[in-house]
Parts: sequence; C-alpha cells; structure tokens
Amino acid sequence: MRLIHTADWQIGKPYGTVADEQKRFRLQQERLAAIGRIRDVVRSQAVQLVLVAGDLFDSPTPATTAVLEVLELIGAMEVPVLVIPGNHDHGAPGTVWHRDDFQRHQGHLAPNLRLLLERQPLLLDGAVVLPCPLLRNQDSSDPTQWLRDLDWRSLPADRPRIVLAHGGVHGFGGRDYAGDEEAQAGANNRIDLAALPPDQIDYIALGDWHNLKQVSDQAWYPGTPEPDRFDQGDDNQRGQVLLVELQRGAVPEVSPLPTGRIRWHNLRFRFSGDGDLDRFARQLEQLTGGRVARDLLRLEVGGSLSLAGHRRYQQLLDDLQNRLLRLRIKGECQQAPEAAELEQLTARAADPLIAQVAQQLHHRLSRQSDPESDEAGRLRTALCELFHFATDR
Amino acid sequence: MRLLSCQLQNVRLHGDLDLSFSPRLTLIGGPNESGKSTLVEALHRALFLKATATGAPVEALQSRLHLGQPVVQLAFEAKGDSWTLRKRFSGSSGQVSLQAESSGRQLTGPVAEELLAELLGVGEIVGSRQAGTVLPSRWAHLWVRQGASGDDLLAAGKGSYDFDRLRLQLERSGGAAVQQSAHDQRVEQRIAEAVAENFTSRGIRRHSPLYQREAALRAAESQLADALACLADYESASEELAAISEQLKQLQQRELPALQQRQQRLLAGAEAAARLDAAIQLAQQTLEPIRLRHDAAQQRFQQCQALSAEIQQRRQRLAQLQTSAAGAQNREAELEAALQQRRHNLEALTRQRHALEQRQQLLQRLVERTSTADSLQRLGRELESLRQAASQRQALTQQLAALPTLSKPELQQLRQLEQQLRDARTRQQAIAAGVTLLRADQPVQLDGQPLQVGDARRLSSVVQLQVGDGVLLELAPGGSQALEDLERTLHSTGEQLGARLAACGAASVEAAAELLEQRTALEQQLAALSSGTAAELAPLERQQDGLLQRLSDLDAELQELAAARQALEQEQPLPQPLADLQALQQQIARTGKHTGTAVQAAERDLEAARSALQQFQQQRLSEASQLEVVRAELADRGQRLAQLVQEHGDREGQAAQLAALAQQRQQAEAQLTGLQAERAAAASQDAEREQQRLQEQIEALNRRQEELLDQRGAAKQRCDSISSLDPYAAVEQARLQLELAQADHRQLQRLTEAHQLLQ
Repeated sequence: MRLIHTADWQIGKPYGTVADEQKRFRLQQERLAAIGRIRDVVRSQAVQLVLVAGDLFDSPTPATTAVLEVLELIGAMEVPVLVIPGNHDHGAPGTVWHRDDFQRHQGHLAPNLRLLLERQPLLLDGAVVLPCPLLRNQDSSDPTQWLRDLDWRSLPADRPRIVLAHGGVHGFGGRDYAGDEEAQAGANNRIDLAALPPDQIDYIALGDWHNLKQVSDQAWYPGTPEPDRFDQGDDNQRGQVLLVELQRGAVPEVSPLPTGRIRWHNLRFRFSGDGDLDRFARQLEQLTGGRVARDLLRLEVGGSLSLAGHRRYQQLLDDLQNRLLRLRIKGECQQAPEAAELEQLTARAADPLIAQVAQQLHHRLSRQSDPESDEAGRLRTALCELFHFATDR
Repeated sequence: MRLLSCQLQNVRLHGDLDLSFSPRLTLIGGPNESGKSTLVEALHRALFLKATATGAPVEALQSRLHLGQPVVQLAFEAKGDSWTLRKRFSGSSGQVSLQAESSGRQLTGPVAEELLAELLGVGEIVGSRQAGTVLPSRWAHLWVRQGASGDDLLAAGKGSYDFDRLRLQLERSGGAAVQQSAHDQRVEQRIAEAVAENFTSRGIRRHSPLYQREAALRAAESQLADALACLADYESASEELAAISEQLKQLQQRELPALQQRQQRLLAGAEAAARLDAAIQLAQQTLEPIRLRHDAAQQRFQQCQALSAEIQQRRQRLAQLQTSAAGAQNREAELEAALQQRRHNLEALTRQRHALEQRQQLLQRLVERTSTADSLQRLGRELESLRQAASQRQALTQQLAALPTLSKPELQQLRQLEQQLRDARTRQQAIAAGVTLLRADQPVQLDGQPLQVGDARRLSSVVQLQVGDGVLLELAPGGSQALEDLERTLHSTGEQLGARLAACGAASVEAAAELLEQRTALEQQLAALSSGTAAELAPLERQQDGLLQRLSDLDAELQELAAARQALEQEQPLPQPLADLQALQQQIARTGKHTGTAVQAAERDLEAARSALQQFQQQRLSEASQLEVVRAELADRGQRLAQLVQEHGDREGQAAQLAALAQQRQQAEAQLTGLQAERAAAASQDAEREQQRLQEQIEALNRRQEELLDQRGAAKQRCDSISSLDPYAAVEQARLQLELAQADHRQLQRLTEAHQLLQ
C-alpha cells in the first residue's frame, strides 16, 4: 500500500495579521496552490490513497469559494482521499461538513473524497482505516478511545491497519506553541498512543503538529504542506507531505516530499550602535536575498540607534515591508541622539533656548533609572523632535 | 552667595590680615603694591581652586616675607546657611575644611570641595590640571583681572567666561524670558504648530490626526468586541445544534425502539406468564428440601468449627494455667520473704523511734531540770535579799521606838516658848536697876542679906533695902506691877518649857531639835526599805518549795531514764548549758521526725506486701479452681466433637458435603430468580393498561421528535448564517486591526507628548 499522509492544510486561513490585502490573498492562494503540489506528488508517485489527518479547513466555517476550490483540487487527485475533521474544522452539526454547499458540490467535484465522521473501521481494498475524527468543539476526550474496546480479530488480517487521528499525543504536546501569540487555542484532547496495541496497528497518521515529527516507529506527524506561522524552533521542518509504504506487520517506510513554497523567518537583533546597521543589513540579505513576496519575517529588535542611524534603520524596514509578504516587528529600536548630535543641540551658542531645552531634556533623560520607561521614551522622542525641528531648515 | 569676612595668613605680603565685608559695598583701596590684587586673588583661589592644587596658581600665593604656607579662611552665606571655608595651600598636602554654622558639621577633603562646588553653583572645584584654562573664567559673571580691563570678553567667545552661568543668571534676574535667537523662535514656532495640529487649549483638536487615531482605536476595539460576540454566538448556536442532534439521535435510535420493542413483548407476554408461573412453582418445590438440607449441614459444620475452636482455646488456657500454677509456690515464698523482710525493717525502725523518743524525753527532763535549777537559784538569791531587808527594817523600828515621840509642830511650840522666855528675860533685864554699895557705916541688907561695900547687885524685882536697922527701903524697878507680871510670865513660861522638854525627854530645845532630826532620818531609812515585808516573802517561799519539789521529781524521772542517758553520753558528752541542750533536743526531734516518716513508709510497705501476698494467694486459689473448670469443659467439648464426627463424618467430609449442597442450592435459586425475573418482565396483570401507557409514551416521543426537528432546523440555519460570515476570520481580522490601531495611536501619542513636553 502506497499512500500520502498529510494534514493541517488550514485552508481559508484568513492571515488577518497581514494588513496588505493583496499579500493576504497571496498567502491564502499559496495554501490552495500547495494542494495542487500534493496532487502533483500523487500523480508522480503513483499513490493509491491520500490521508488528511484533520484541520483541512482553518475554521469550521470556511467561505464557500474556498470549499469549492478545495473540492476541485481534491477531485483532480483521482485516488481516494480520506478526510477526518480536526480541532479547527471539527465535525459538529452546523460546521462546513454539514453545510449544504459542501454536501451539494462534493458529489460532482470530488467524488473520491470520503469524509469520515463515524468512529468505526473502514475497510478498503488495500487497507483498514480506523478513523478518529474530532466531532465537537470542546471535546477533551481521547478520540482513539474507541479503539481500546475494538475486537481486533474481526478485522481482516491480510492488509495494513491505519489509525487516522488528530491531536497532541501524551508526552508530546502537539499544539504547544509557546510564545507564538498567533496560534489559536484549541481543544485539549490528547491521544494516548501507549493505550493502543502496537502489533495490531501498522501506521498511525497524525495531524495537528505543523512540523515533521516521528513519534514512534508507526506514528508520524507530516507537518503542514505549506508553512503558516512563525515558529520558534530552528529545526522545525515544514512544507512537506509523507510518502508511506505499508505492509501488514512491517515497519512503515516513510519519506517526506517537499511541497512548501513560502518561507517564514525569525530574526532577533539588538542594536548597540550605528555600527550594527551593516551587520543587520547583511543578515536580512542572507535570509531573504533576492526573493520578492515569498518571505515573511518576524523581527525582534532592541537597543538604540542615533538619529541618523535610526533614519537608515527605518529605510531598511521600509524596503523590507515592500519586499516581504509580512514584516512583523516585536520590541522597539529606540532612537536617541548620539553625543555629536546632542552637541549640535546643546552647543548652540547662538540659539540659547534650543541649547537649554536640549540640555534639560538630556539631563532628565540621564536621570531615568529605566531606559525603557514611558517617561524615558517621551524624553527621547522629544529630543529627536527637537533635533528635527532645529536642523531641518 | 555673599562674602562675610576673610582672613589671610602668609599670602605674599600679607602676614596676617583680617577683613570684614560690608553687607552692601566694600571698597578696597591703597597705593601700588599694597596687596589689593593679592587679596582678591587669594579669595578667588580659596573659592575655586582645590587646596591640593599645585603649580603656578598656588606658588603665586606663597610669601617671601612670611614663613609658613598660605592659608585663606573665608566666611560666607549661601543656600540659607553661613559657612566657614578654610584652605591651606601646601601643594598636594593642602587641606580644606568647610563647616556649616547651623549643623556645626565639618567636612574635609574631596567631600568638602564637592559641597563647595554645589554651594557656588559650579561644576567642580578646579584642580591643577584645569587651573590654566578654567580657573581664569571662574569668579563672578564677568571677571576683570588686573591688566585685562581692556579685553572684550564677549568678543573672545564664551570659552573665556562662564557663559552658561551668566546666561542662567541673566535669565533669572530678567524674569522667565529665555534669551532667544531668531532660530530659537522659529523652532519654538514649529513646535507650537506641531502641538496645535493635535490640540486646542481645551484638549484634543477635532479631526486632528490624534483625534482620528483615537477614534480608529475605539472603532477597532468595538469591532473586535463585535467579532468576539459573533463568534461566541456562533459557538453557542453550534453547541445547541449539537445538543439537539444528540437528543434526536437518542430519541430515534434508543427511546422509541425500546418502547416499541416493549410493546411487542407485552403482547407475547400474557401466555408466557402462565408457563412461567408453573415453572416457578416447580422450581420452588425443588429448592425447598435442598435449602433445608443445606441449612442443617451448615449449622452442623458451624457447630463443629465452633467446638474445635473452643477446644483449641481451652487447651491454650489450660497450658497457661498450668504454667502459672507451677510458678506459684516459688512466687508465694518470695512474697512471704519480702513480707518478713519488711516486717523486720519496720521493727528496727520502731526500735529506733522508741530510743529516740526516750532521748527526747531525757533531754526534755534535762532541759527542764536545768531551767528549774536556774530558777531555784535565782529565787534563793531573791529571798535572801528580802530577808536581809526585813531584819534591817526591824532594827530601825526598834530605834525609832526608843526615841521619844516628837513631832515637828511640837518642836515649833518649844522654840516659841523658849523665844517667849528669852523675850521676858530681856525685858526683865531692861527694867532691872543696879545697886552698888559704895560705902556704908551701917549694915546694909538687901532682902535680908547683908550687902558688903563694893557689892553690886542687879535688881529686877521688888526688894527691900535695909540700911542699918532703921532704914528700910523698898525698891521696885520699873514700877512694881509690870515687874510682877513679867515675873509671872517668866515663871509660867519657864515651867511650861520645862514641862514640855521633860515630856519629850530632851534637856534643851536644841536637844529636842536634834532628836527630831534623828527620828526623821530613821523614818526615811525605813521608808527606803520598800520591800522585805512578810507579805512579799510568803509566796516566794511557796514558789521555792514548789521548785524544789519539781527538781526532786525531775531527778526521780531522770533516774528512770538513766539507761538512755548512759547510751546518749556514750555517743556524745551531754552539754551543760541550756541553749546547747535545747539545740541537741531539736536535733533529736528532727531525727525523730524523719524516723517517724520512715516508720510510716515502712508500715505502708508492709501493708502493701501483705496485701500483695493475700491477693496472690487468692489468685492462686481462683486459678486452681479455673484449672478444674477448664479441664471439665475440655473433656465435655471433646466428647461432643467426637459424637458429631461419629455421626456425620470428619470436618473435611462435612465441608465437601456442605459445598455440594451450597452449589445445588445456588443453582436452584438462580433458576428460580431467573424465572421470577422473566415472569416480572413478561407478565403484567393489567397488560391492557400497560399497553395503553406505552402507546401514549410513543406518541409523546413522536411529538418531541417533531419539535426537535424544528429546533434543529432553526439552529442549523442560525449556524449557517453566522458561519457564512466566517466569524473566526473576522475575529482574527479585528485583532489585527486593533493591534495596528493601538500601535499607531501609541506612536502618535508618544509624539504629541514629546511635542507638549517641548512646549
């Protein structure tokens, strides 16, 4: 049995955090394009079956157009595509799976799609699939619970058995995106893999964790086929599907195949002076060099620059804004007049008022114990503004 | 800051200069080279140059005329206090001290220089390094030095004078207006414009950027709230839909089929009930004998078990009692020995206590005897003195009796009589006439007695003078009558006196006076002897007799205690003094008390031992009888058990039999219960009514189903309508908008705050 294991397509993800409508559209389109790339893999690898382990849609209520596009792309795969609802697109009544548009169009657009809402074995020609769909929004029970009472002898012994489930597993928190403020809070259903009999199961196709992860010999998370958020870890491998070779009673052969296109970067930088600007520019170049509208960057900045330095920094950021799909900036790079700039203000023998005000501001600023405080920020801004007013003729 | 006074020592030509400054204006005048500039420079250095400075500025102060290093002392007012500054410029070892009048605290070294700088309002007190550059600019706002009055400081640039302080001072004295340049004014104008862009005098300007951003922020907030509300709405609708669907499923798949099935069964039930009744009766009949047999067997088995247990228990008890009996004799002997031991102990103690009591008595007697003897001795002495007094008194009384009785008035009378006699004699002599016979030729007789020539006579009474025979003359001195009276008086008085003197046995009045004196002395002596009367003596004598009697009694008693005394004397010599005896007595009393306590304890011990023995003996007796009882019981139980075994086989056999019976019974009972349950399920006596009730329930469920279907439709529609708005995406979108609005607002707010700050 040769199949593709994928999950977490998150179609219809609004990317509401991307302000530019065009860029947002681009990101949304890229998720659909990823399905096209999966379709290509299915064709080129002569795959017999596609498993989508939950979160095909980003919400239980995707827009109809997105639903139709997905159906069309799935229909083009021409092999059975088995889908279970995940925590994002759970299978409660009233969600997309029960909506008229989905039900009406599925028949003719994607007759090969099988939505699995029942927790009962599905017998196929080449495999037995044991689906564990998430049927409720707030469901904290283990979706594989029903497998513990299953009479395994009743299953045919000649074909591989596949558990299809969505959620974190015990000992590995799938959705533990600590520090990712954009991750949605989800259901806390955890799967207890240890409670399942390993010799009765050949493969456990998991979804929910957006990075590639092998949990055991049999259990895999494929990761999302197209990255959709900034992640913290460096070795997080995203943008692929898993090609799986299965035989009853044998360890599965699993190989990832790339499908991702857009890159999400994290960069942390602290400015301790204008001299750091060149280094900063070089790092940006390394990350996104020569690519336009295919990168997103999460930039954590700190420290401070001179007024002139800050102007250049701002220029760099403006360029980035245009070049990237998204630039998210955490923290703040302070601007504060450096000694020479300050001197331009305070040493104005001819302009005693400016000199005196600048001196007072500088004096008050130097007395601030916390350079990050609101008052310190106000004073710095005031100094900068004074500089602009005084030097822009 | 204002200078009050200064004192210079060894500064160039000033050896020791004191100077007070006027509160208004002080003019320093004098010819060239009289030290005017030196004074000013010294003050300048003291204020602005560190005491430890070296080099030219310090060397310039040194004196060629006076020995010693330059010292400048200054008094000045600053910051609301009076200060005394003293600097001794001796190169790097220079010293500074600064003292505040109010606190009296004195600072020295760098701390003093720092405070000085603060008081003077300069950045720091200048050291050697900056002395050449900064020092000349320090002083007042404009400082014109000797030989430099032609310099234009303003033209030389602000490095040549303290520009900042000058400007500050000018601003301060010129009101709040800061000196401004044209550029200053332009910048100020631009700041004012920047502020005015967003603010009016009343607050934020309408439709200004800040106003717009605040509005945008509020809009984003409310948009997010709406989106969240919409999402919550969707989620609750979704939950409701799920709940309704679940209910429907339950209704359609469980409740209705169950009712229908029951309805079916009810129809088939009636005939089955009769069959079941018969089967139940049969089963009951089968069960009854099995139950009886099982109960009996169980009872027997339990009996058997109980007997075995009792036998086991009795055997243990028997063994216990036998062990106890074996040890009993020894234990009793031990207890008796202990009793005997305690008895001896008590006796010894009792003897000891007796001896101590005897000693106590002995000492009691000895003490009493000693004190009695003392009393007797004292009494004897007292009696002796009393007796002596009595004999003395007797002698005095006799003496007094021997003396004639004479009292003081009587003596007085005697003295009066004597006086009267003397007076009468004097008067007699006064009227007496003298007769001297100068010559006679004839015998002259006076009152018949011849009078010789030359004889002189005194005539105090009437006499007859016969001269010769023929002449007879009567001479009556003083007139005859008076003389006669006098004569009579003399006579009677003399008689009276003689009679009184005779009566009191005195020869004369003097003797009588002496006599009275003697008597008075005796009476006084007698009075002085206050005691010695018989009345006093008698009780003392009786007392003495009593004491003597007690003494002899005590001796007799002591005689009886002679043995104890001997024993005590062997231990220690008996002391004589009363105090020592009493101390010894107390000591023995204490020992006696201890011994008494010990005796009581020993008595209690004895009692305890006695009762222990008694208790033990009783226990032994009771155990002996228990032993008999247990033996009898053991025999009895054994017999009964043997009988049981004989009749019904041994215990294992019985147990097997019991188990078999129990199984039989259980099977029969299970069968019966099954039949009864079946009967209860199947048969209702009023099946018709049940049938009707079921029908009603089914109809109610059908109605409920209709309702739920309607509700589900409504909920689904609600879900679909909200769902088409994509509430999840809307929330995310609203969050972003809010975040952007917040950032924009924060940025502009920061900017406007900065502008306001500048303004």
